[in-house]
Amino acid sequence: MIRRNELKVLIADDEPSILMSLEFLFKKEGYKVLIARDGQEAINMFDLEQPAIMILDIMMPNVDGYKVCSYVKTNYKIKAPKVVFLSAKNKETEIEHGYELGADLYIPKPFSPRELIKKVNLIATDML
Amino acid sequence: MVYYYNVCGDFRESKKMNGFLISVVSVLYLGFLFYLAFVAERFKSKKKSLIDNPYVYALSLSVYCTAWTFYGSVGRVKQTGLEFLSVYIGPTLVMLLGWSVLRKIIRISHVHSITSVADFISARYGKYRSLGVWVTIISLLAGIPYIGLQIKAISKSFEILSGMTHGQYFYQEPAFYISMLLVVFTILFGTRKVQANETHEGMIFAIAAEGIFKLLAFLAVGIFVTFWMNDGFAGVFEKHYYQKEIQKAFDFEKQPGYGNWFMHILVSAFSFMFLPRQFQVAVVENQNENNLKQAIWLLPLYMFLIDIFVIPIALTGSSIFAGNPNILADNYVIELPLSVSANIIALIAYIGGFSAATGMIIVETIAISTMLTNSLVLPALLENKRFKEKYTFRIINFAVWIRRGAIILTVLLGFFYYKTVASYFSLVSIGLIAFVAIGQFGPIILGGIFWKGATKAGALLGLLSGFTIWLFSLILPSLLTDSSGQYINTFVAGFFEFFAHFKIQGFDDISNTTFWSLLVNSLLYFVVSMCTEVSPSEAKQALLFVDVFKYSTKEGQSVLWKGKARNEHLIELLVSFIGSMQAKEELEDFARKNNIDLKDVTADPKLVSYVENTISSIIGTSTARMLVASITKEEVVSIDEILEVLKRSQKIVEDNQELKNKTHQLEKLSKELKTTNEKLQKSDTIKNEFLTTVTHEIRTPLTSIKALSEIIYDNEDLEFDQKKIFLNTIIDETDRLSRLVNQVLDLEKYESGKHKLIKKNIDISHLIDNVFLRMEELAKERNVKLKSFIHKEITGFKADEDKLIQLLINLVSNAIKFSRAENGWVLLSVDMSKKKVLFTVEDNGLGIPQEMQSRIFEKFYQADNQGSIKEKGSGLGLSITKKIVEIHKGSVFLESMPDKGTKVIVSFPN
Repeated sequence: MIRRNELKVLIADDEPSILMSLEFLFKKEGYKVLIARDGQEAINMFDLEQPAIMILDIMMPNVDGYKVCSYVKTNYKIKAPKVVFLSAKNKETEIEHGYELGADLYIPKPFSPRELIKKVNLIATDML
Repeated sequence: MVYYYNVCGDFRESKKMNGFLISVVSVLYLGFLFYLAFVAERFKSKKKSLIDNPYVYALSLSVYCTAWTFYGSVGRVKQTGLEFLSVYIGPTLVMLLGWSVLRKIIRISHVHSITSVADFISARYGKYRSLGVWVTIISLLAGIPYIGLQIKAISKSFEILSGMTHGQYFYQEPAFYISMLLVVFTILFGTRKVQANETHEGMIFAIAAEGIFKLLAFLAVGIFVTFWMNDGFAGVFEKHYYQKEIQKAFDFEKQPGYGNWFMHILVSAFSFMFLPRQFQVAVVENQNENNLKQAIWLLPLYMFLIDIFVIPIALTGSSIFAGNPNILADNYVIELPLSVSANIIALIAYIGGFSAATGMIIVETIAISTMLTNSLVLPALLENKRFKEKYTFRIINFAVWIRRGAIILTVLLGFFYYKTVASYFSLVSIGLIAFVAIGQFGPIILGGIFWKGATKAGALLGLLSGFTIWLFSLILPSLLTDSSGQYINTFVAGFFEFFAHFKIQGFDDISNTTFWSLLVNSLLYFVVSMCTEVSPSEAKQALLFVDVFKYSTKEGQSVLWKGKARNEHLIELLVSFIGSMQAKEELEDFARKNNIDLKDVTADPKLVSYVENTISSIIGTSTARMLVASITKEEVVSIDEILEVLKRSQKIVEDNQELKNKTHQLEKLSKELKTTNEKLQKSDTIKNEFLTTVTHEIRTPLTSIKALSEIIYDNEDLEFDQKKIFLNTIIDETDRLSRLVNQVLDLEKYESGKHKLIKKNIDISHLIDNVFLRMEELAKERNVKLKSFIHKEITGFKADEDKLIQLLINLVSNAIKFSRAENGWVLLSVDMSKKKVLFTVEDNGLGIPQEMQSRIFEKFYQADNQGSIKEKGSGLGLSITKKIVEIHKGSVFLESMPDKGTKVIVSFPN
């Protein structure tokens, strides 16, 4: 069986209300949830905890989500986490850029929590 | 310094320069001139002009400053003090005030291919030959002594510098050989090529260089005398002004009077334009009218520089050589450096005087030889029927050789004059006497270019009357007196005594003659012109001259010819002048542009005019007229016909102008359109960016609302507290959304100018209470203390209260949001200074980094240092604040130090 409580999910977003809803969602599904409020914090937290999945906002103070993604994908290679972008940037070029940086999924805001969880669960299943 | 006198009374000085060395230097200098001229001709053959620029043009005009200037100015100071300046004030005034006259003369000469001042005058009066002849004769009579004077200057300066006196025969004089070298130069660069619209590129370039040499040389001597022999300008006056003679010269009371100044300025102004050599450099050799624009200030500057040191040299010289009457003031420029054995400076002075003299001789000779050929000899030859029949198509060969002969003759006459007649006249007077003769051209040229009613009869009588008066009052008295100053017989004495009654008190001879000759000249010119009828050929030229800017463009003049001509004759004539190659090229070009078939038997009138104009530029207008007349059957064109043609051509000129204007307007319009388009595109980009940002800002609360509502919907078993938090957040986010929408609408209103200002008297303390009341809750939440202070009681301040409150709330809430965690405070203070009401919002919060301070009033700009806790704000608050300030005609300033706090000052006019 899936033991999701062994999978760490790092959520990085600068909007408290969004963090609040995502934290609730993933905890309820049984993931171990880590929170970062900007890009730099996300990178620090990753180095420390090395979560399996990252949910990244793009427009964040200090370091943006793109940079966080390319940091983890280039520095950790095989051990790199699955990256899911969750962003209000939803132009085609922006989405393409996200995938070019190695993202596994790109979900535009506003998003449906149901859909998000379904898709992340699928990714998690592949990993286990 | 040792002088001793020999028995004959002339002096020798112990140390002088070697005569051979001076000869070598002189010849080397001339060699250098030849080289410069060759270089310029070389460039010309590569289609590059070294002389088509304002500096060379202005320098070539400085040929006005001859040896007379170089040596004579000092002599004139000793006699008449400051009055020496008058002959430089004349040209300066011509450039500063009369440049438009000069420009008109240049334009006319270019359009009509004028080759000399004689050509100009005869062309104006219906190409009337006699006028050209008389102008040539007068120029010759004025010019030959002037050339003689230059040769004398070269000879004398050589003698002084070398300390040798020459033998009495001409072949014993270095000046003779130098004159001959100048003949070679002039023939080489003045008649080397004879071609249409020729300019003497090499000669003018060399003359411009001479302009530099003589100026530098004079400045060198001046600086040497003023700063080395004396202690500067003041020192000169302290040391040398004691002399009675000098004091008298500088005393206006004892001088002949202002009348002299006026007359001298007048003739020198005329001479500056109409002396043969001046007309040559200023008009005939002018490459481009625009060069005149710069010369307007360059030439006066030149005159100023060359005059600066005249007085110091004169004062010092007359003081040092006070006991030595053999040293003339005219020679101080060389004698002063020699007296202190500064041989190098003396040599430089010699070279300067040499360049002034040679420059004059070269240009004057070219100008006079052109006049002699084109206005005197060739027309006379063509009068002869047999000559005309035989040589019409070979005239060019004669022209070249006649011109060369005229050059040799002119210089020889000058030399002859120097050896014989010169002793009758004082050195100083020769220049001014020539000026007065040339001044006689003034009325008929100025009248000719501004007055259509003038006739050739008037011009000829005016000119001859002035000339006669000049001859009788300035020339004959000197020639008809014996060595003791008595007239040669009683008849002559009686004659001149009668005319002595006309002497005006306070005028010197020059001024007196100037006054009477110009008065009679102008009067006769005017009266006779009024009494005689304007013939068709005069009327035509009058129109073309006076209205040159109206009827003639540089590209071509109106065709005013009627008659029968054969193409083959015209072509043959043109070929005889410019060669078959060039003729073929130019004719084909001309035929194409004017749509003419050259194979027709009868020629188009346009071609007749074209050929006449082209050969005019080679042999002068009168001769060209005669030649063309001889190969065509001409009919008289009536004045009505002339006017008709001119009107038509003027219409074309005007149409062209209008077309040009239209094109210009169109260009301007399309340029405007382009900038408008760019502006629109730019504002479009700004709008797009704004929209993108607004959408993003709206999406953020929407995302939370959607996510939280879905969670609540999906999780029926949600705990009560959790559900309450979620619902509360939804409410907050909805508020945020509507606030954002309101702000966007506000901003749009301010930016488009649709807002309404409801101004009323503001009660300041009430206003502050109102703001703080609304901020109370937020302040309490953040643990920030709100303080206020009113520095001065403010009355009569009017503003829109609601907007003012909105503005202050924006500022205060921003200050609260960025307050520090502990002991935070926000101070709102109000003050008045210099009719301004100042609101200051100060805090001790986080501060704003320097690089962001200028941007925070931009839309959606939120400083990045907001830390990990993102402050809720639309990013529009400060933009709106700024707009509110702007519509109240106020201004906003920001002072901030990171970690110390921020101070925002808003000032409104009261």
